[in-house]
Amino acid sequence: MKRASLDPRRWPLAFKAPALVAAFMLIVSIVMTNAVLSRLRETQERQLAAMSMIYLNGLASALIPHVLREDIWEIFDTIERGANLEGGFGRASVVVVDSKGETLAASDPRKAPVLSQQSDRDRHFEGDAVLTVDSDKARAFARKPLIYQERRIGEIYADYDIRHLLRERGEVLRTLIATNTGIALLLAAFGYWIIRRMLGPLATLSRHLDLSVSGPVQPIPQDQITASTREFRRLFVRFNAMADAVNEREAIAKELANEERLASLGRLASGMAHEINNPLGGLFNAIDTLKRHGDKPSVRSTSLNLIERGLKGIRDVVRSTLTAYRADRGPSRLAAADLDDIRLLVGPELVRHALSLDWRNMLEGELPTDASALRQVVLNLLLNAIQASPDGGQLIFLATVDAENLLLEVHDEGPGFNAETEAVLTGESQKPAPVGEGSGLGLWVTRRLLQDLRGRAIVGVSHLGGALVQVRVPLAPVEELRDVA
Amino acid sequence: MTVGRERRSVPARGNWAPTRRGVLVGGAAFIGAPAIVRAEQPFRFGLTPVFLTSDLDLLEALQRYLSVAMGNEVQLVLKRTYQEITSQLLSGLLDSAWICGFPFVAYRRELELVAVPVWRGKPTYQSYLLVGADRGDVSSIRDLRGDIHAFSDPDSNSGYLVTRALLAENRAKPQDFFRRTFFTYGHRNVVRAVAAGLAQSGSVDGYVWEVLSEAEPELTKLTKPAWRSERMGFPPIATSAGNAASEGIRRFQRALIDMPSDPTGRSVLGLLRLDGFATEDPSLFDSIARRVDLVRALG
Repeated sequence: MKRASLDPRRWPLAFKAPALVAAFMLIVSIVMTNAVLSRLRETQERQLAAMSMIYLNGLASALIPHVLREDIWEIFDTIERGANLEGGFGRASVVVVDSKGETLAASDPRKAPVLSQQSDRDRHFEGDAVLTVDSDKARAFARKPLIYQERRIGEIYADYDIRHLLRERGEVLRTLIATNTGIALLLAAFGYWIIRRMLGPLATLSRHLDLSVSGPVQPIPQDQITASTREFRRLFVRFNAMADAVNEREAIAKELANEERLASLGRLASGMAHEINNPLGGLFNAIDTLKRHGDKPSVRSTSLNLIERGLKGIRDVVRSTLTAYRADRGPSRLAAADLDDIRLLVGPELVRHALSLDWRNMLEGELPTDASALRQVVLNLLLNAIQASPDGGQLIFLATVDAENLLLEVHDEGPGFNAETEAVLTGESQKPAPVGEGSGLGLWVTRRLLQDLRGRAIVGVSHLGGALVQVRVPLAPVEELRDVA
Repeated sequence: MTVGRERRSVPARGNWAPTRRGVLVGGAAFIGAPAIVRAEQPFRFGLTPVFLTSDLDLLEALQRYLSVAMGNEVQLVLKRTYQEITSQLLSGLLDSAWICGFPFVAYRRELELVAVPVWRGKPTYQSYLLVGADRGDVSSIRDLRGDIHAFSDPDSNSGYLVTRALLAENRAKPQDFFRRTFFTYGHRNVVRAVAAGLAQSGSVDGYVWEVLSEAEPELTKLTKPAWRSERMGFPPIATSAGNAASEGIRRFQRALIDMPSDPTGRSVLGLLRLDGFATEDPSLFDSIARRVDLVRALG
């Protein structure tokens, strides 16, 4: 993953699946916790109600004779003794009132003084309810009418402290959260491990695809194919089939590039023959003249000069051809003269199209880069520029060096690159070698050469009005050169 | 005290509820002493909530001391109210009883003094008007108007008569002066009622409050005496006039007077925080008699 994305659809599967498990556990635990807590609350309230009933019934039977006599002391004393017997719930506060709702006695007389009105205590109860629980205040309210001979002679109000019940609920909640978190984390970790294991073959596939970017596609070894699951086995077999196809295509492309080089050589050779042929006519004329008027010193001298110049021209053409394709020097050094040879090579083409070339070779000494590959690059770019330029136009070639790079520029007055050919040259398209007439095979070869040189080409607009191709090649010794076209 | 009252006769130790209250305000109970050979009728001595530390230790020690000192089996009879004990004494069901100065004065002709307890060197005590410790200054009973007031017993001098007489001097009656009154039938209960806030004030035996402040200071510190009466005759041990000259009463009186000279007797006195018992002239109770007259005059 390059960068954490906020879009869950882009999260890695190895994270997404465990997260899903954890989320699922969260939902399950919320539902379970709710169920358990509500069940616990019901049980607690049922128990509280039962204990309250037992307590208040006992209290009522002890209180009725005292309430009948309105014996404040005995009521108080009975409540006090009853308070010691509560046991089951936290400290209860009890108020006993007469039939008018006036306090007869209370367990805490300072809060409910004798004769104080307590009828507002009924607001805690709905209808005939005898017990209500107020969890916010951690109190439970209970009431019990005192009935004597079917007459209501008073009422007991009890107010229980239920903090211990709420504490128990809190403890259960904490236990549930801790347990469920533990299970969720464990399952998530297990899920992560499982998914990682299941996605192992994808990593193999990805590794092989990565390798194919910088070299031939490596087929997945047979033992890994047999070791994987059925789905991935099919995928791997297909990948290998594709790898074979790609490698085959690569081989064909190399073949094509070779042929293109030969073809360009052929074109040059025909140009060269033409170049040699032109002075040949003059030379034969001169020889003819010498045969006939060779005794005349002026004629002889003029003819010999003519022959000498013609032969010099032929010698230059032959020399440049020889230097372009000689293999007598190490490929790792480039001299200024190596590029100047190119100028000679393209000379006939320039003449043929009546083009002028402004040659600005600023290189000095020898540079650590592959001379033959680079010459091929320059030649291809110049041939491409010549081909694109209108007759009588102008070309500029510039070669310079900055701190760590060799910089080349080729300007022309042509119509410029279209998007497709530009992509072929600059390497933005991973398309294979184009096949067909004028399809830019030369440019494709150039790009591959640059790729080997770890250089790059950029296409721009020249101040001449046509295209500008800028090439940047890093000046570091090239360790290993592939068998270039 | 329903429970205590239902238990009409408790033959011996072991059946006693082991609570102080069960004994304090407990109903009728007899403590027998099987060890003593019954040569004659057992001597029946009635007790009332005057007792403070009336736990099993005290009752057993008192019963054991009296039986040995008198050479006769002694039964301790516990009653809840002064009224019960007085009527049983008058009707001859009891040989002697520890009653209050008020019933003694009220039935002066029918009763004779046997002995009077000596507390802090004197045969006298005071009545206190008790209020909550957090209550502001109360200088006279007039400040208690409108209170919920706790009395101990309608036949108690310190726990009823003194306050009643005090109001009578101001031409008032308790039911008009106080918002509400109730009886607790125990001086300790009056202290409890005031301490808890059930009553805003109470009439209590000064001796009980003082002894409680040593034995249960956490209870008495919630209260404070707002007014103290002058010294009056301590609740006496009396017998019926017809029985006064009997041999049993003579031996009983001797046993009471001699109590400080016997180890068991001293432990009884220690539990009661008393110095001993003395024979006193009935005129000791004249101030109580004056209060009775005052109250009667007011109707």
